[in-house]
Amino acid sequence: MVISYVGMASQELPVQASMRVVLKLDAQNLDEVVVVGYGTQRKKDVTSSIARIAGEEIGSLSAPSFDSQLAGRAAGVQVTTSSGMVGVSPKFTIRGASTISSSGDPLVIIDGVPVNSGQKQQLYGRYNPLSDINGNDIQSIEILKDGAATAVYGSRAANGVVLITTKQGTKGSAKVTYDGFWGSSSASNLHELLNAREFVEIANEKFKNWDEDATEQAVYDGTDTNWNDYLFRKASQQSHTLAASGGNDKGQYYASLGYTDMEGIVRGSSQERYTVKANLTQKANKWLEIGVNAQASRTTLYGVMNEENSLGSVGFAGVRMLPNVAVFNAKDKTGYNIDADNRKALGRGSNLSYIDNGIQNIVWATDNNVNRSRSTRIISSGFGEVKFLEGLTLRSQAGLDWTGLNDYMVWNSESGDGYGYGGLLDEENTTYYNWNWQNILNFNRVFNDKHSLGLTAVQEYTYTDYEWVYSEVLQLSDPFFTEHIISGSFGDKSVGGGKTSNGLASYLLRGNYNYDSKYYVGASYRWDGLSRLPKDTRWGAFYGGSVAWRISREAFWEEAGLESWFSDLRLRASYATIGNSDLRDADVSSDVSGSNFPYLGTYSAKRYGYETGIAWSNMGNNKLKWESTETLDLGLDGSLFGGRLGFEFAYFRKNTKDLVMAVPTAPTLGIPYNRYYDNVGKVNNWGLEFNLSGTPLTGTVTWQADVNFSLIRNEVVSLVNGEDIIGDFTIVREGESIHAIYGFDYYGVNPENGNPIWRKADGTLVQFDTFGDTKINGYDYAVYDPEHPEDVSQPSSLSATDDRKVLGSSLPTWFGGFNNSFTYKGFDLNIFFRFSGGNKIMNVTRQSSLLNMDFSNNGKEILGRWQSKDKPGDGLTPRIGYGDTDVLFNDGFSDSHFVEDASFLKLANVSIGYTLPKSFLSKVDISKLRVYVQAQNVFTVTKYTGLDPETSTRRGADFDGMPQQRTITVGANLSF
Amino acid sequence: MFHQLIKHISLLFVILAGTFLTACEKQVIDLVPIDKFSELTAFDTPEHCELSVIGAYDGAQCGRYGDSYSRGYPFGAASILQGEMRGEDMNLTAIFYDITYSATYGTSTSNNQYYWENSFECINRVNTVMRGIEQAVSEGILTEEEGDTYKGEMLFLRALTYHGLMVHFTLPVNVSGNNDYGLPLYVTAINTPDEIKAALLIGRSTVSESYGQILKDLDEAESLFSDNAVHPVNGITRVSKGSVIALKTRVYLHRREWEKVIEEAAKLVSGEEAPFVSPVGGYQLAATPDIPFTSYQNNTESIFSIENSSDDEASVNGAMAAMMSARTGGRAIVTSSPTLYNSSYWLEDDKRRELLLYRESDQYYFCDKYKEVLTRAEYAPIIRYAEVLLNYAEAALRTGDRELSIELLNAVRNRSLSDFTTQAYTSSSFTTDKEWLEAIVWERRIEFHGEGRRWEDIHRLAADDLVSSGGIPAKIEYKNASKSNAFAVNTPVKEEWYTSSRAFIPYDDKRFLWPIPVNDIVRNPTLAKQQNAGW
Repeated sequence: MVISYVGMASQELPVQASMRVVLKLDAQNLDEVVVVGYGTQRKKDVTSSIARIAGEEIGSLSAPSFDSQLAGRAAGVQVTTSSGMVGVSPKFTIRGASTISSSGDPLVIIDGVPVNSGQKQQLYGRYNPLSDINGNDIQSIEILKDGAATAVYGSRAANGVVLITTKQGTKGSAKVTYDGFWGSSSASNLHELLNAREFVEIANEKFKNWDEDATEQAVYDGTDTNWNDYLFRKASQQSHTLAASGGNDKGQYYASLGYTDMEGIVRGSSQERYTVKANLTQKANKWLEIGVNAQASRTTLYGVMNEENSLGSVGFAGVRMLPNVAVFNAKDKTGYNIDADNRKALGRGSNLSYIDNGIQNIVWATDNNVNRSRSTRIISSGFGEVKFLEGLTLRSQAGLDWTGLNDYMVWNSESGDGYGYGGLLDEENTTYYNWNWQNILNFNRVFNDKHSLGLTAVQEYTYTDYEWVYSEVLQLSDPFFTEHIISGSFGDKSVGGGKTSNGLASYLLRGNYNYDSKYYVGASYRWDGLSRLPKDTRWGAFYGGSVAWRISREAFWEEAGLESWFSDLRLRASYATIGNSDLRDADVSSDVSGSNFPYLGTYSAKRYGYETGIAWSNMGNNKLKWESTETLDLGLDGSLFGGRLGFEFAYFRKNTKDLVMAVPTAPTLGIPYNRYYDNVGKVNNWGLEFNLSGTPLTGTVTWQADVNFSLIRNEVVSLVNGEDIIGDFTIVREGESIHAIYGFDYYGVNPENGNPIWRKADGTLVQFDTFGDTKINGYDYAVYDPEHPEDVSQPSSLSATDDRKVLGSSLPTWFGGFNNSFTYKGFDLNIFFRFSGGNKIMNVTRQSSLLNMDFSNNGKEILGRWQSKDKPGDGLTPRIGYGDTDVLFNDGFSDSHFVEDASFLKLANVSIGYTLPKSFLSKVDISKLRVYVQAQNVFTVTKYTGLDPETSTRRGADFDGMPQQRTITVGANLSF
Repeated sequence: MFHQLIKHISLLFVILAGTFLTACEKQVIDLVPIDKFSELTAFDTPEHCELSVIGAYDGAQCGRYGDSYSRGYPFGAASILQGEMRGEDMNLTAIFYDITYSATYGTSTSNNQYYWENSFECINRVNTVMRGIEQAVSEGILTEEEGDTYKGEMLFLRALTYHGLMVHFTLPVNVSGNNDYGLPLYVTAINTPDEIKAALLIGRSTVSESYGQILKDLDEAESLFSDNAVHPVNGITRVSKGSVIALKTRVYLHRREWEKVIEEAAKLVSGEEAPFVSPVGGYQLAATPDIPFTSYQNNTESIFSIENSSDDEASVNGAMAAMMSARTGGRAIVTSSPTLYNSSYWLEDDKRRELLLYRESDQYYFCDKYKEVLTRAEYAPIIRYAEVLLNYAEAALRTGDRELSIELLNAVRNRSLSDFTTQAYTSSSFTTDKEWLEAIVWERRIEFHGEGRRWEDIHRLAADDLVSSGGIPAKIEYKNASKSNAFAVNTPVKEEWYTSSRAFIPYDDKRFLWPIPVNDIVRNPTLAKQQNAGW
């Protein structure tokens, strides 16, 4: 058998029943390569900070998309998936948040071609472009973190770069593999809601606190519905990939077919994907090689309508559905419980009135309304590489990423959102088109066995456009016509569309030199021109430099006898400036053209009824220029005990200046969108990263452990005129971290009267006298004096401008992962934990939905409300009153009442596999068969009372967020 | 040899690069938007000027609500719904407008915020278009006369918008207090960072100064229209001289300058006997009270309405039809109130009751002026000839001309009576001016039901010497009144339909005025120091 391990010399040994192999460090001939951007480097010669994740670590994990599985796998790389819904794109934060207004998404490159990524949403269905990629096709993922690594991507690198390399054929005999799994998912956590009896008590109390004689609107008739049982489900999932690869000295191929079918945990949601992948390379002769990488996919998502604070959404409506009415009603023509008088709304059952806001029966909606997104995607690239002489090549590569996204929405006419329209169909066809052309001249040569030189020159052009057309029809003649828009079946219609584009031209020079793998020096210089900036400031220069010193290669190391146990030690440092070409304003996502021409004063098409016009839509700024980030990275890597323990420490600093930000303007000035773009802010990130990998156990039982841990600090250094940027729940303020949670400081409940109390900025306490006499300052703020809690006579105030303060950071300050792999004979066991913390989250779901003061259901927490002096409740939940959400909870703002610690430890993955003995398999002509059972998102340890500490609907806030999924799968990896 | 090769290859590379470089580079970075005009071309032809003027109307029709959807702020629908929800003649069946209905708003309440913000965006858009038009005139792109007409339209929109803000954010002219705060007056365009800086120094004017500016704009607008004709593109939704004068009768009424009301109204009302016809614009009352609503696109009575269409309207979350209608597909959130329905001033056989729709399920009446629940395409009525007549009637009465006042009042009322020969008011119907004035105010409530005028009257009459509204009226709790036989003409409105949480609020309470919303308090240091009293 052949034993090989990264960085170790391969050894061929006879197979014995029990054997102990000591791996030998092979620093001299370490040829494992790492993809570094416009080429590869030998791993040991990489002087920058690059995290590598092998494809097999994520290929067999069941998830709507592979990218969510990168969470916790690499130091400095934070990946947060906001819910377990299909189509949700995880948010990457690589070495901290370095931009405020512009996109924070990293650049994603597949086989050298920049591709479409990041959350897309046209109608209500969400689409994650990376979900089109079959995780089983991935050979490796490299995440470029520091300036030296990312500087070659210049203006596109500020948020880090994710390089995905797909599998290639290898020389040798053909190999056919099958990877598949079947599984089941369910929500890992759901809100605990009031049952029917509790609801009736609470609902009537809301009215009675206002008016003792109020008619009891809620009536208990024995019906008790737990709506979660109907909305969420055990969802079945399956995935199959069949691949073949092989090749000879001249040509290699890899081809695969993939099929994935996943039900979503929310009723009615699903994701189905077909992928075809082919990678071919062929040597034409001694000096010419050509190749093609191509993949085609079709993904169909049946999504879930879920927006913040939106009546028709599952998150909003699900927790509000009245528990004392039934889901179904055989007497209704639809079969669902729909109100006879208000056909939009959930049926009132025995209650005297229907649910507030006329919320639709959400189960009816998930069964009858459709949010479908279907992507047809082709990612392909071709290259020709000419080898002029040993080490000198010219490669020309052209790539294309084309996504045709078809969104289709049905709002059934029978009830709910579609009722008012007489049925509504929306179809939107979006095309994301991106081409890229690179010419790469590469020179790599080792002189005299000592001097290793690499030079690269690149020219690259990238063009992206985005176009969309939508049609909407309403007043359908019959719900029958909902499978597609059918001519003649509708009363009214509208159409719309738009198109916008951007492009980047780049020129790059890079050089790397090392002497005897001991002293390293590297530098790069990139010159980028961006269509999004005005002509005069369009071109930006980005450069990087790095040095490294392999101390263990010095003579004194060996002389000191260290080499025997401390085989490798390297010190490295790098500095670079990088930029952010994705200048879009994250807050105004609908204004796509504003993001492509932020510098230009524009007038966009507008209608005034039947008349068509144009209106000022963006205030221009001809001085707009590049955002730039200076990055410094210091690292120490090493390997001990014959490679059984490896470590990497890194310190980094990222200072970003000239942030292109939407400068908020006072609304009275009437500037479109109340903003214009300018280079205004500075943000600093710095942190420490630790990575330890080791093999504590070898022998019959092996144990390989990897732990990564990151500490990150973020500080907003300067803003426009030092002014705060205040969002609904968070603030961007100098001296604080980006999007720090900002709100009112809650004190508790007045035991005397149940009024909520806050601490004002001046330290005094203020209560809201909810049920006080309006003739004497009732229903207004009054001073709270702990000595005289009954006194509500002194007027006070609670001001959104003066009495809010920073309540915590929304960015984790520490996070990491702990991965363990054990083997015993044919068995393997993987246990993967990840953790994160130091951040807070504003649980808006609790504030606004679970504790709503409407005639709709609540979470169990409301049972702790103040009822009387003798029944003071939990001391946090005030006396409840119908319609008083704003005054009791400061709905719409953060309030420390609902700001919670979001730290967590998750058992992200446990898998147990068994590889069948060769002796058995060879009889059936199978070279390898591994079967496994796997559980993902097994448990979470957290103080967060919401669904999941990673559930969020915007930075720092969970506002009607959806649950994460817990998945158990059984699968098989088969090779012939 | 090796160096030679490198040199050749480099050269080859440079040539290869050079050939494609310029072409490719230009193709990817010299891009211009294809979905938007650059501001350099927005006023460079007469056609583009017209497009930009229409864009200013759009600012009055449908501003931003949140990031994307529009709900008809300020005038496409919101001024009407907010105007009704601040009054008592329409009740609320759902949570939707509860903050307005119960007066529980604060500095961050969406309704107030978007009303304020969209109004000011409209004002700056108007000012920006005026600047562009002036430039186009100076460059000879537009004739002087074309430029004047456009300017007249813009000045009307600015005045309308400022007045819309006055009734929610400032005290009436005859109530002192609140530091006499009017509105910050922005009369030139704010288009650059430097202009932003200068505009941030502008504080609130006084109430009187604000009215002064509004009337100055309207006087100027009137003078800019060269003829009396209605606008050729759309006589109802585009401004002409008649719209300007009509608005002046309203603004002067709010300013309590009765003689000026009469002066302006007289321009639109010829003679002293019904039927009245306007020499400017040819306005007259429609034959029946439903016509301005069923034929909202084409009638003689609508002087100015904001244009909506099925493709550009205030959505299910804002449009009048969506909110008020109980027809199939309507949301029936804002209903007619027994306060109005039961009034003895509204005769049982009055034809305007045909503009109400009864729904048996909740035993309530709903306003049926807006029937197009599916398309929500109805224009938003801003001023009708009936209002000019009633404004005139009120001013005439207050200045002692009771006879003319009765004639004008009857002109509006009689067309809706089933038999005006017996039912019309006569000089003996009431005795005192106060009683007559009450009759006029009731007539306004009935005539303009569902058109958002109610709050304007409550506001201007807050401290009236004869018919004081006193403040925000107590509101009926729909749940208490539905299914309780609430509706019967000429019967009292019952105490038990009210709740203590929606009690009467006197005009000296801070809630009588909406607060300046939080974003300006945060970003406009001058206004931050000039918040309405108590907020």
